[in-house]
Amino acid sequence: MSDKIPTSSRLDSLSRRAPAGPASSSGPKAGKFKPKNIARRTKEERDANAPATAAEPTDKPHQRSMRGGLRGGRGGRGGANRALQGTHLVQAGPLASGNVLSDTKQNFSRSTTRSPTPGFLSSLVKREEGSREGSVGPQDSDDEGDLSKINMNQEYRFSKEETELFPVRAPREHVTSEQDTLMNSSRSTTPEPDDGTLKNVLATKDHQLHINLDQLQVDEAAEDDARLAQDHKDIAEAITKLNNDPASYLMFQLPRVLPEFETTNEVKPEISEEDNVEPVKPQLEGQIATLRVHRSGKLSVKIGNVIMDVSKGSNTAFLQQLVCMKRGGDSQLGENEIDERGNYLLGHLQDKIVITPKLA
Amino acid sequence: MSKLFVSDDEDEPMTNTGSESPTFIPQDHGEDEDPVVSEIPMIITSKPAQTQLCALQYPGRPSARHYENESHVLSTRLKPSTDLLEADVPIDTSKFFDVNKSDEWGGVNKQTLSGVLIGLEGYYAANVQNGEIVLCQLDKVAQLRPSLNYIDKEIATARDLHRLENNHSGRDTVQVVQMSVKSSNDNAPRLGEALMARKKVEDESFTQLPWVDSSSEASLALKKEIFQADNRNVLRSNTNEEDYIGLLVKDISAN
Repeated sequence: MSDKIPTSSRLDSLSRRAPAGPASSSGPKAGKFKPKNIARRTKEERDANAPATAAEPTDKPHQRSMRGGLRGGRGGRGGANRALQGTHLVQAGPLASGNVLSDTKQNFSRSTTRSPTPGFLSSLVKREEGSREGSVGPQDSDDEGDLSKINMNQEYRFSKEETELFPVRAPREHVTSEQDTLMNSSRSTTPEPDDGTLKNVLATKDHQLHINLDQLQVDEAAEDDARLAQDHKDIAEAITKLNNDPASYLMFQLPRVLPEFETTNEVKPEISEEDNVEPVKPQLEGQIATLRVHRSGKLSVKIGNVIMDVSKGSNTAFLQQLVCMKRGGDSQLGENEIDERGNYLLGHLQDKIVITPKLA
Repeated sequence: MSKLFVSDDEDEPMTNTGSESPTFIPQDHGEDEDPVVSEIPMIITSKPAQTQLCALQYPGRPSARHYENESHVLSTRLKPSTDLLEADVPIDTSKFFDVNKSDEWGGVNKQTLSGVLIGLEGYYAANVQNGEIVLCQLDKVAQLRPSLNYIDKEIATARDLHRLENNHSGRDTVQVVQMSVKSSNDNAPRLGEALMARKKVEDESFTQLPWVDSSSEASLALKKEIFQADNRNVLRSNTNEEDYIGLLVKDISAN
């Protein structure tokens, strides 16, 4: 069967090969495959042929990091960035401050805003120069001289009234690594036992490590205690300060599940006529808890019969309004009803206090 | 340690000014070493019907710069079923304001902030009155951020112009045949959750909610109505600590 297949129906490559076979065998270049063996050049030769690379300046850290970004990945020649060519990178949200790939010079220029009012800015500086005592600003930065633009990535130490239009930035804590220096110093002062055997040395080191660890734990516990004590002090101060201030409010976070209270009959479960709105949980009304001040200054909260811990929530640097919203029902207003819909500003939320169940 | 608490003595008389004299009975025998010196009552009040207490957060606005009095919020809009809130706030055009850009965007003279109201549980706004803490539950919170919709508008108009030009030049050259298969089943591909939510928001229209500044009579009256502790009965509870932990566990396993 197979040998009856006509040659025309065979694969091209096969059919072409048949006539080519004898021709090539008769040709002069018939023969085996001979791999070219390229001799390895000596190092001198290679160095001589290598393209000259410019000496890399190493004193500009940001430039280095930028180049690192360009060369990121395995391309080694900015391949990653080339892949992004013609792509429009949209940056928004918390990660917009740049990633490895797009952290190019372009990004730097984007983050500095060219202000249309350089005159205003230069007047800012003058004032700053005058009242500069003790401020450690970014005076040593590159942009110091050029104040026609503001770099939003850095903090400027202008006077408070001037920077109120500046973006809100999270307070940055410069952690002075006391702990580290303490550890370092203790390490360096540990006398090296010259005459001990290896075992002795190890034992003393181990012992020292344990002492350090214990000390660290004690320190941490003490630090926690101090922080909590400071929290309680702050809360007490805030409550005293905001007493009878109708425009300032505290934000309390209580556990989502509260102890059960005997709901007095006063809270009528107003399942009125026909409007079958979801069964509203009866609103608690009355004194549910007491904030207790201990002699040591500590605070605790007793909700029902359960005692809970009190701590301070993180401070917010941004504005928080307390608003009462009357959105009104879908139903049309009656003849005599006044349209009360609206957002009513009641005041501003200040400190946050967190109450957590004590699980001990 | 004790040096930290110099101000404690100031706190004590405060509770005494409360109309209801606080009880000074330290009932906890386990805390004998650190007895309770004073107690501040925490009273929960209920809201009037049809009102919601909301916290509006402005992440781009320093806490000292209130939107109040002459720089109050101009107006607010709400999409009721999707809870999208938009607020127009004034901008200070004297500093950091680019008039050219503003013209480019069709005369921007106010900033539009938007955010979605999200339900809260366990959060309360508290006002301190005569040494008593009056709490009222917060219903919603929203973070209002600049929505920059004037840029969207600019892009949209540019796109429309572009489309018009294209349609004008070569109308009958390209013909796109679109094929779509409709299935009667429910397993047809649907929009994802986020896109669905987005679509819902876009389909809904705003209802205007007038903004009432804190200095107005209506706001003051509402403030009084909400944060006045009419009912200061001490609520009784039979839940002891063990029961409470049981409740917590039940709640966790229910979710």
